[in-house]
Amino acid sequence: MIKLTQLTKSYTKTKKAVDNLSLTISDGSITAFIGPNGAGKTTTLKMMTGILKPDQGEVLINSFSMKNNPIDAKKQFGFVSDNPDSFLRLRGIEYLHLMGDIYEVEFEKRIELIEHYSKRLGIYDTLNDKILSYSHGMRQKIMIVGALIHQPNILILDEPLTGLDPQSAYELKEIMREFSKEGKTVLFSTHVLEVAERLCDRICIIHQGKVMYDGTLEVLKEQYPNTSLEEIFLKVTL
Amino acid sequence: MKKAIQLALKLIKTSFVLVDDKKKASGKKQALFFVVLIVLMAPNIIGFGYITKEITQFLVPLSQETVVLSLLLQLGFTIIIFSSVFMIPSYMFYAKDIEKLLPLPLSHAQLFLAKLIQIHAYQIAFLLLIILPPLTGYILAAGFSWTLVTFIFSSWLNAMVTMIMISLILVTIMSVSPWFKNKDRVTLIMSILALSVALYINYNIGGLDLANPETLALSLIQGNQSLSEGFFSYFLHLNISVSLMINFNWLNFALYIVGSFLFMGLVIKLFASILVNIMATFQGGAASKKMSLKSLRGHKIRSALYAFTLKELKLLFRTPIYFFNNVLVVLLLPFIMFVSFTQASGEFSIEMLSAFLNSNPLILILGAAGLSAIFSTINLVTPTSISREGENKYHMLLYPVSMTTQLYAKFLSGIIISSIAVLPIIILIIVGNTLCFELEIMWVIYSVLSAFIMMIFINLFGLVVDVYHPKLVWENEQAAVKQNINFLFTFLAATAITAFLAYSLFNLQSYTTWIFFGTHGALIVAIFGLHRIITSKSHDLLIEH
Repeated sequence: MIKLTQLTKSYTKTKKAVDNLSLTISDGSITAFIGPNGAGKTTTLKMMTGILKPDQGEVLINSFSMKNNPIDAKKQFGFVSDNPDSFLRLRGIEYLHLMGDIYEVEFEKRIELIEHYSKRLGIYDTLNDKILSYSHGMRQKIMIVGALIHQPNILILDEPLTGLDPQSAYELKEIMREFSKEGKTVLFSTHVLEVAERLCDRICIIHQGKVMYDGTLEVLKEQYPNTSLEEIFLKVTL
Repeated sequence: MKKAIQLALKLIKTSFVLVDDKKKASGKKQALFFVVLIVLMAPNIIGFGYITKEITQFLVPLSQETVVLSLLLQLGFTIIIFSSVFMIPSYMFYAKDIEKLLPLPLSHAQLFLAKLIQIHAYQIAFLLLIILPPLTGYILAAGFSWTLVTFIFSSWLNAMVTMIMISLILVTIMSVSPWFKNKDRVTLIMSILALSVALYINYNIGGLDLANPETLALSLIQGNQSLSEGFFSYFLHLNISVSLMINFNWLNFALYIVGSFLFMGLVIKLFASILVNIMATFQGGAASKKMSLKSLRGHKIRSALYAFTLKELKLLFRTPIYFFNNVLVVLLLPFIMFVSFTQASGEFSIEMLSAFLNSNPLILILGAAGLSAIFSTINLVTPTSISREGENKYHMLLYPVSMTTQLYAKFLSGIIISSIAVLPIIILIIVGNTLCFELEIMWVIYSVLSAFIMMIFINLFGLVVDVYHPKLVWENEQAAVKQNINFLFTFLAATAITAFLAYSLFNLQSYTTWIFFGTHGALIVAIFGLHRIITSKSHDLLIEH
């Protein structure tokens, strides 16, 4: 479970990127963060994962406080950033073993998971190459495998489908579904409303750092009958 | 031709950035940077010009002043070779703009010519910066002559011919094997090649005192051209231009010009399509290595500290810019120092050194501390360790591993790289003392401790400086290391401590021993202080950047 309480973050004195945002994401759900550019999605995800320090508020990950117990809190989730250009001079397999060492994954288990996920995402044959030689989509995939290697209870992804080929996008969505069926939590940000519509149990619309809507898609559609999700999104964020 | 020039001008305009910044630097900021650069370089520029003027004045009565121009011609030739070796792969094969240029409705010859003009413009600008000061000195001493006109024309023509020649050689090599498609590999090979040449130059120049005009002039008169014999005898166009300066002949001059342009025209006409097609193949990825079960399982479980240290070292060794600036410099500097020392030492002997050390054993301590300070400072590993993360710094905050562990992995990588040079020094001290110096063992232990304390302090200090002031915004790795002011802080600290020890050794003899003990004690206290900063403040500092 992820619990955000009154999170606030400002980059400038005049404007708050995230404004008093409170949210609880329960286990076994797939939640989409949607919102226009600059809405505060990435800032919220960064505060959630300990990359950014909130000006105010608290983040609890499976009851572990990001402020008081960051190491245990960070062990709970796997995070895939929107920028996969990392560790470019490491080979794919070296990066995954590094993740295994960092998250203290038992050797046989890590081999099994590397094989399983890299084959599903179609990058197994390239694991011996340096990440530098990967395309954007392949870099995204290796980061996804790296985030899954310690079998986290929570998966947080920032724009995960950008750059993925249809087969890999399908596989990733399947992985997310399997995750939620196992009672684990998936939270991802996206601009693609159709993905949110088809995949998520719940959506969270953010605009100007505030939660404009938080609930199921069905309830939202009931509030705006005979309206497409795209139109609803435009009305909510206007 | 017109289209090629237009394209070249656009390419020059879009790729010429003096101030490396994520936000495009303003014209004023770039101009200011340029002015600061010129001011900083002014002493060297003026000095170079002055020395050349002095030498030329000395040579004019002997009718030997042309040797200065020959040397400058060779210098220019070397600059063009060096820069071509790096620039041609970067601008032609690995450039990001190739993908955008290839679909343009331009002929292969136009595209190739535009790229050549772009590279040539940068090379000429750099050449002018280096050649103009000594050339001014030469003109002031020798006046204007036809030899000078020949020199200027030859320098320009040679720059073009040499660049095209190097591009042909490189392209031929690169087209032979996909092995060369790897940019890192090519950069690394070129860097090692360039350093080897630099070492060769250093070896050849040896103990020659370049700052002394008379010594240099005497060597020139005596025909000290071993360097040029080693490098330039294979290059016909250079030999022709040198002989033209010595014995000017209109017919030869005309033949030289026609021959050069014919060569360049032929290359562009005949090879443009081949070259552009090769450029296009370089936009693909390198050959893939097959994944096997052995590769999958070929790792061991490691602690986080071990894993992070190994990652740091892998990135330092595999990233050519880092390898060149952080690793290779530590490998080569002791060698260069040794060569310079042995060539310049003259009648200096081991017996003299032994007597010198026995007169005051603290000299050994100062030497160990000083050399350790130099080798720990020049590798730039820890003062750039956070900076090198760049925009990926967020990973450090993401992992469930304490910031102290992650930073100590960076510190350890700095210690390992520094040790490449410091450990041989320590071994030399121990072996030297056993065989020659015969100082009391406590002095040897103290010198070893002194080297270690200095190495630990400098590396830890550099790390803390980078924690407080990382340069995280950069687009190429070079900027993270070369344009990082953090180096200055460690350099100043190392210099201040070593200078203080040296001053006390030679000027405060009565208190020297206590000053040495006190300084090392203070350094140990400082190490604990720096450790405290890392454990208590680093996470908060890094999350703020």
